[in-house]
Amino acid sequence: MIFKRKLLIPKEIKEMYPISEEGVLAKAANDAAIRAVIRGESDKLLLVIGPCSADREDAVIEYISRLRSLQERVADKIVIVPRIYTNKPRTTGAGYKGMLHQPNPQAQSDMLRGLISIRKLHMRALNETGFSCADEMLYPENHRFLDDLLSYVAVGARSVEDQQHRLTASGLDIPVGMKNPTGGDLSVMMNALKAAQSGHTFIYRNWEVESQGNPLAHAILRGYVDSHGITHPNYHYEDLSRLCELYAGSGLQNPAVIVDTNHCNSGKQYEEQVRIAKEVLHSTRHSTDIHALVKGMMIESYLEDGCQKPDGGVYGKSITDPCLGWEKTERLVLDLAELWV
Amino acid sequence: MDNLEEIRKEIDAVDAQMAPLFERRMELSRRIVAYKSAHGLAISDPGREQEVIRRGAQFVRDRDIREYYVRFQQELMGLSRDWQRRLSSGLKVAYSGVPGAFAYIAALRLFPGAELIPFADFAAAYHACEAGEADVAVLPFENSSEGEVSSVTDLMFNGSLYVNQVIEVEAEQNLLGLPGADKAQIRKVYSHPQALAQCAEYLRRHGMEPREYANTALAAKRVAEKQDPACAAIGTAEAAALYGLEVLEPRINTSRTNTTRFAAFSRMLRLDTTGKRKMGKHFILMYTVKNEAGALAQTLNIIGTHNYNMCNLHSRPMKELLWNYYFFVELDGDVATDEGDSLLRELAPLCDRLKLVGSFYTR
Repeated sequence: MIFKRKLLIPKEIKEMYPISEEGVLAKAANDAAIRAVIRGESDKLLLVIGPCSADREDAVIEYISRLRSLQERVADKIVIVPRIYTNKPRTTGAGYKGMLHQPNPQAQSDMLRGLISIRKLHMRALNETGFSCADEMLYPENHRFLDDLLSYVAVGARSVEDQQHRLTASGLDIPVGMKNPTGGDLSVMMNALKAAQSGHTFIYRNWEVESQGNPLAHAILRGYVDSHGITHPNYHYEDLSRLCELYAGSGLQNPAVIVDTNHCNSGKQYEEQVRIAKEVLHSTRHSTDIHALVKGMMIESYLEDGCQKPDGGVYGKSITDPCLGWEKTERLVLDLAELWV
Repeated sequence: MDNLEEIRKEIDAVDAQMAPLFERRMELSRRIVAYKSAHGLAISDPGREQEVIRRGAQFVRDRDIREYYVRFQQELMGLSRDWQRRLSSGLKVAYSGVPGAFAYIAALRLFPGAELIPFADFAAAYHACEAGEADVAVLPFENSSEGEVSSVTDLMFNGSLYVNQVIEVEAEQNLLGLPGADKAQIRKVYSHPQALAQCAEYLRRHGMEPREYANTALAAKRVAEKQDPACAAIGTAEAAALYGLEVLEPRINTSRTNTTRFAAFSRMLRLDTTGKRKMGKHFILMYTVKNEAGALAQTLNIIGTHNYNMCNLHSRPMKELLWNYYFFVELDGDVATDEGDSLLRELAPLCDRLKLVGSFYTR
């Protein structure tokens, strides 16, 4: 390993791009609305929605601006949290690893520029649209670069078994969605939730820190791959029912699930997200337990349908997993607002 | 067949339309002069003139007439320059040195027609501009063989003025003597030690004895006063003209690459976000960093991250703080862009003090 250069600390990058007073107020209001859904105090549907990866600032900001007017139209039923995913876990480590690594997807990695770019992007989103957004917590230590801007964090299927992710989640004051692992073993996810909801003493950014436990940590079902490499969904009525049982005996606070409609649930057939989302709502109508458990959906959506190679050059089209385009997204969100009772 | 009177009437009508337009154009020049004076910019701007001609030529469809239109525009801009010179003749330009020295030449080239005011040293010229006694101060800040002019660098850092224009002046050394003097009779040659060194080979070859003097212009003055045909000075053609000497032999310097960069300092910073010309744009940043390991490296990382090429970096002691240094960085590129905004914004928290000294075209 070559130690190339010392990077800036979160405090320094925050001084470059400090949050505004309006931003602080907007995030507090967003946090309260999202928290109320996870706690069951609000019966609105949470939609964590946006591109698979935030590859370029201009297209992402345009997308989120459109979400803002859509949010106004469905405000009585739905709480939208835009996804700005700035770091991507890769199955083999190869390929585009997100804006954090490659602020310019066609260029070499530049971690300094990456750290600055992701803060700039999240800050622009908050300043221009009033949304404090969601990001994946791929590198727990990096959370401090964005902690004043994020309203939601997800721990991915590959990270959910990792102790540092679990301990860091236990120290956050925003909802942390923990996904089932790629192999589908729900007990791994439940253990992660147990760890995240408990307090710990550990090392974080070279400090000895103490966490209080995060009662807003909750489950995300994203489908799985079996030992034969075949993908299986886990959004069906039976899966949700099983999760209710697991929660019932767990002693966990705020039982909640967000259903990821893409990944192994759709087998990356992105258009299936529309059917899957509606099917989940259908399941909630057949069981009060499931209705109480399901808090929302995680949907991969962007300006254009599908995906392209990182050098494809189409504005607003995903360069990682395929996404639902804007027209279908808008239709889906309006439909969900209608169907959610 | 057209009636001659009719055609002439039509020409009169066209002239009647053109006259108010000409007047309006000259009025606009007046506003240009006001802007340029406030920002220490020269009247002549060849890049802009080329652009005007290129654009203007497109409006003329007939190819033969287009040729004449280009000449018409050149003439028009020449008139505009004259007019601007006349308007700015009240412009006060401070420089350090005596008439005929390189600083004088630089000021003259940048601001022809302006009132050039000599000052005893760099600081006096700089402070006169700060105080409003002069509109512009023209000072050398870098020499191609000697490097930075440290006292001007210090003024740049500590003072309140900005640089919007830079000019390069090549040191062309000539042998100056009394009118009609014979080269072969010259025995003693007076000049600044640097000028003598640049012409050492010529002096040796002709058996002339070098005599050091405070500066080249004063040396010329001394030769003129002495009235001894065996004495000569080394200096500029401008100095010869000023003190009634003659160029006995032009360009006697053997090292041909001695060039000095002069900056026009003014009280306002000009950041041109509309200019189309991006080539050859430079800017200067000056800053201090926290006194800790890696602090300078962090600022350089930020500069690298924004893809600005660093042409020059040097440090200077902050005299009031023992063993503390500030940094001078000249960068290749345009700072009046989003990229430049981000650069300044990201540097700010890493620097205790940060100053954008100016943005200008080189050459």
